[in-house]
Amino acid sequence: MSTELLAGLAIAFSALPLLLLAIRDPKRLRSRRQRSQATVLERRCLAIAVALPLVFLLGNAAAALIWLSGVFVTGWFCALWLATPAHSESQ
Amino acid sequence: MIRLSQARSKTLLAIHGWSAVALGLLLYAVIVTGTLAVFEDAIGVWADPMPLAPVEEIPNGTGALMADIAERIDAAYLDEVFLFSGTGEHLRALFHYHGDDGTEPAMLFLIDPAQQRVVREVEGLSPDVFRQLGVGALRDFLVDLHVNLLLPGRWGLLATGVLGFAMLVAAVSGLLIHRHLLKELFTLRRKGGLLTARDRHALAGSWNLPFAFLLSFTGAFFSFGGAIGLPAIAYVAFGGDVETVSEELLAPIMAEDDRPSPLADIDAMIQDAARRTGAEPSSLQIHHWGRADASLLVGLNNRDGELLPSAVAYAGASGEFLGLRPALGNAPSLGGDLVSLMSPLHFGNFAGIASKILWFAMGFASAYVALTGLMLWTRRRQAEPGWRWLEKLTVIVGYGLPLALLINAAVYVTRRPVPSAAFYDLLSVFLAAMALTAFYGFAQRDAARSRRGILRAMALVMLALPAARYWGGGLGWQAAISGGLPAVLTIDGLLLVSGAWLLWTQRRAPAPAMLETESEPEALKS
Repeated sequence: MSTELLAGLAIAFSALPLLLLAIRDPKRLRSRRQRSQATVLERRCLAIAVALPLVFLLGNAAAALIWLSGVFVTGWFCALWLATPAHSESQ
Repeated sequence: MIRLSQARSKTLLAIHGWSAVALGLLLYAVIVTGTLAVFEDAIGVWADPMPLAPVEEIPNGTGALMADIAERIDAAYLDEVFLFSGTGEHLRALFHYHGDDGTEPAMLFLIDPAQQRVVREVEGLSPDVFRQLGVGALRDFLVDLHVNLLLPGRWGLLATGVLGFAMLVAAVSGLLIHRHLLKELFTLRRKGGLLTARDRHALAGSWNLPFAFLLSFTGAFFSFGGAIGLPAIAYVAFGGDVETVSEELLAPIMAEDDRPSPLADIDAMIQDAARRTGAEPSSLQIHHWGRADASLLVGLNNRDGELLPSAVAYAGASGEFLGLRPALGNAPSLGGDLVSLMSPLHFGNFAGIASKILWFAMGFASAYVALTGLMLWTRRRQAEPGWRWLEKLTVIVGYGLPLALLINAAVYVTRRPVPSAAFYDLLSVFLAAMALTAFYGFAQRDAARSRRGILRAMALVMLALPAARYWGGGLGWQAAISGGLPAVLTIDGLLLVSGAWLLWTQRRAPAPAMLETESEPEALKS
């Protein structure tokens, strides 16, 4: 499997728990006067799920670095997207 | 959460802000040009396309062409020969030697590897010969602005090295003063004004923090490594002889033997390097061509999944394989690996387009953090008339710099064939565009109006660029696709979409969030 494909799959795997972390983030919800139902254990499990692909990328330094930067970009975009007016209204 | 006393937080906030005020705009210029330079190859293909893309970076036959060149030029130039990628998938071959007076007389050749012919040649002093080549000036200008801020000699490297450390200081102090970094990773309050602006700045900075460290450290290494590192080592261990340090650290060790001897078949050595390593050759260094102690070093692209580029060495006269060549010294070492690691980590060129897109995104985030940080600083001091000039200047540089670079591109692509003085023409156009933008920006009533005007101008130039390129004698889309040059179509498309989007967002006159005038929230006054 090529480095790009491997890294792409890893980023896609991490993106879902990252998005769930963002959606259920207590500080973000509190700033919108909403309450988070997520427990600490649940958030920790999601954080571990975000980092999990790294285990499978340890033998491929290039893919690991792409995954790392991909997760940071995805996290940033998630935070921006969840703050858009259209999304705020739908919540 | 990082616990700091209030006094220490204030001190760190002052360091964070004042370092940005002092160097922020220059740092922003370095980051923006570096972000664009991630795609320097694609920009080169877009601006200076060959009719047909070569199948390999250094195709078979290039060595024979180099040998033809070597036969017809002064033998003194054969002391050091470099072959590396040029703009638009061209190759550049630099034949040069180190003069006794410290100069580097050189001949530079621009090669079309697909058709195996010399397109242009220039004779002069290195590095000036690169500016006299003309073709590739747009890409070179961008890279020169990033690496040297257009300053002469070592001053440019010193300046960008200091800016790299300033970015490190800003990243460390930002990490310390943002006490709830992890808790606020997804928080962007949309109350408008300063609070939203602060959140946007902190959000981009937080997600980008590891890469801000990475890019600033590796950037400072590249700037200071040559400008200060080598002279410092030379001063301490080699009695100030930089030349000897370079030879010791970088050149393959071949016993000194100045008897004349022809160079072995270059193409055969390049093919052998590819066969032995399974990696694609990307560059060539030949030392002492025509002597018995000649050496040849073949630089290789990383193999799939690997971060470190590698190189293999050959005895030039016999063509004997000497083995893998580390970045430093003659034996593998941690230091050599760390030095090799700097390049892929800084340029993001280790995994094709995927790593480049992500490095571009990280660079964009860094530029965004630098610009929004400066705007926050000036916004907080909006009531003080003494700071208004900085608010206007931030907008002028923040948006005027991309505009000037776009105007540069428009001027460059409309002049075919590219004149040999193209680099200096671009320098004049760039400075004139920045001066006009500054005049316009300072003449406006406020920074918001100036920003809107500059963004509209950017949108119009973006929309006009693809047509200007085509009418200036550039490749059409169909010819670009059939020639295997998708970068031409991609960049044209990105320019059209970005220009249309920018024009759409600026069609009315909403007050930008960063520049709104409303009272500062109490929480941010401390």
